[in-house]
Amino acid sequence: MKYANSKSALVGKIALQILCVLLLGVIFNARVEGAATMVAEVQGMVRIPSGFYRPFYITKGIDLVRIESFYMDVTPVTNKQFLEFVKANPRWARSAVSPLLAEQGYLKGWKNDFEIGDPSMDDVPVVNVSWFAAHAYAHWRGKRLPTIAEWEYVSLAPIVKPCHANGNAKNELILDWYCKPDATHFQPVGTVNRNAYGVRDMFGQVWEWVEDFSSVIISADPQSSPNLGSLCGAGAAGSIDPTDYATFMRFAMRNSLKGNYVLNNLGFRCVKN
Amino acid sequence: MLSEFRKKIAHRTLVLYSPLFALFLVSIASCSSNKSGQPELAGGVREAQLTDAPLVPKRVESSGPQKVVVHLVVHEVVKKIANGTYYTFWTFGDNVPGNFIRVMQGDLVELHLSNPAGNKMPHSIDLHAVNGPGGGAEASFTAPGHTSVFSFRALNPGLFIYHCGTAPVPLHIANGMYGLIFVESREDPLPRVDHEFYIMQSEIYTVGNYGDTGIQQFSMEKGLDEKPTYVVFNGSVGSMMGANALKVKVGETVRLFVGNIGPNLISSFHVIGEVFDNVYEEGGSTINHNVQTTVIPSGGACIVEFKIKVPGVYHMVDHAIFRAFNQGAVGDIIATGLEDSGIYSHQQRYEIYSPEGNSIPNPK
Repeated sequence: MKYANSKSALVGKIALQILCVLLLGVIFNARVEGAATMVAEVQGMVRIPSGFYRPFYITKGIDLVRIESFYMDVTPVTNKQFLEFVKANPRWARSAVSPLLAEQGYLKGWKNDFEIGDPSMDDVPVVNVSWFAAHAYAHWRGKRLPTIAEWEYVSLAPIVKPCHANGNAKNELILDWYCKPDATHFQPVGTVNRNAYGVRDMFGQVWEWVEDFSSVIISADPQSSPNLGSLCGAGAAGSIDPTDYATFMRFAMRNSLKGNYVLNNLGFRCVKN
Repeated sequence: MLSEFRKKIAHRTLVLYSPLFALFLVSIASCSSNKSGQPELAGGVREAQLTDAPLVPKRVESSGPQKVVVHLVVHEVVKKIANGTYYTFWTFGDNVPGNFIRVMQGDLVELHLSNPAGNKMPHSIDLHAVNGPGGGAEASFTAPGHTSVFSFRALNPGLFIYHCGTAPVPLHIANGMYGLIFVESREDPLPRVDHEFYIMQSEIYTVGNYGDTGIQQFSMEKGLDEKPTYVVFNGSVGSMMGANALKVKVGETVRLFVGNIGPNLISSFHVIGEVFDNVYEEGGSTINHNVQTTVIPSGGACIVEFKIKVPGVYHMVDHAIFRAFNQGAVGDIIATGLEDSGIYSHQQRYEIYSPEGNSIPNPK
């Protein structure tokens, strides 16, 4: 009796386990399918989960910003990708573009309007593009440029490749790159480093345009805005971490730009809701 | 979506044009903005002669205040800290410290700051000689590939520091972005001397220890702790030693324009074997005499004058002496000429010390 009891219990247990496995399988399959469709929808992008970002400069008491989930390009936009855009939109060709939208030097590394020239440049980040050009490219792709908050939020993730780096070690790594003179020989995108979200080369290749790069200038109330003063002066007033020099440098760089500027090491990547 | 985009473009275009509009306003304003009754620029226009340390430009005589055009170009380059030790410096001009600028009181300085396209950072300049917000930092904030121009009147005479004013400022300074500007009084110019030299004390913060070879990385930690790896004159260890020592003759007068950028330490500037006849305290108008060691604050400067009386090697040091002995803060002046035993005898005797009093000549 005792044996029979335990035997039936065993059968029950096995049945339950089978059921569980089946159920899990269904859920898992669904997930995998979901993931597959997601990837199909936004190729070359990764989903960034929602969360909170603490702005580097706290203005008007806003010390936490809700970031809704979005997709971010895994890598910066390449020359080859940008060429597709220029071919489809010839008004963005080097000889056609208005100097108001892109100053002299726009795409200066290319052979001509519709040829990159050097094939080794195909897969490296496109540089010498203005904010207007980057913005137009993003819209043409059905995407947009990330905001400062979104870019910085993603950049907070630890670097996992080529080696794990977080906190001070990560700051040192970034600072070391920022402090090195110009690297005009870029690596193919995606080969330099990867962070925990799977986003590659946020550091170590190029500066990146963001949607609201000049928001600190546009909100031009010198009395209330700590940004302009701090970026051009000695103070670190209003920043959440005066020791985070890498972030200061990014804010200073963005603050020095105008929408039609093109720089040797300024590229961009896109995001999508 | 598209209309939103257009709106944004329109907004950006407005932003783009607003500097032009501002320029227009300024140009209108400048017609009548000489409120303080600044003198006319009777002396005409000249391009400033700029020098690298330890050289100082000569005074330029003129019939009245001039417009002085200064072209400074920022470079981001790997340079030597010491033999076998290198660092990525950011410079005003080609070297650390930056170019020496010399103007006369009342001159209108038109400063052109260029940041070549090959650079990675935006830069700016804050000159302590400027009366105006940021010392010019905001007016000269320049992205790579661009040039900024602004003007200021050299109102106060004295020796002033200039440095980059872009955040994070301590890093821009630690990486070499500093120099001196001398505004000479027109009524009371400095007396003639035989030699003028430019000396700048600074600290370098590296992750590696003193003497570690290779390209060194900036150490945030040492900077915060105010514990430099190197304390140097004119950008590197031994910048004024051996073949690069400053050379003078006995009987000649020497003027040193000394700056201390820090970024953290106060300098106790001293020349071993010399007493300063005149010290223009903190680079200003008060002259002190017969000084052994003078304090130069971080972000400050000082002019010292002395006459070399006896031949030999004179070491310029930060008399916080570990910095001289162990961190590099030493430079040499070599004086040649005739001995004067009436002033200094050199060693006259050398003998065994005997507490009993009878000294026995050393058999050496």
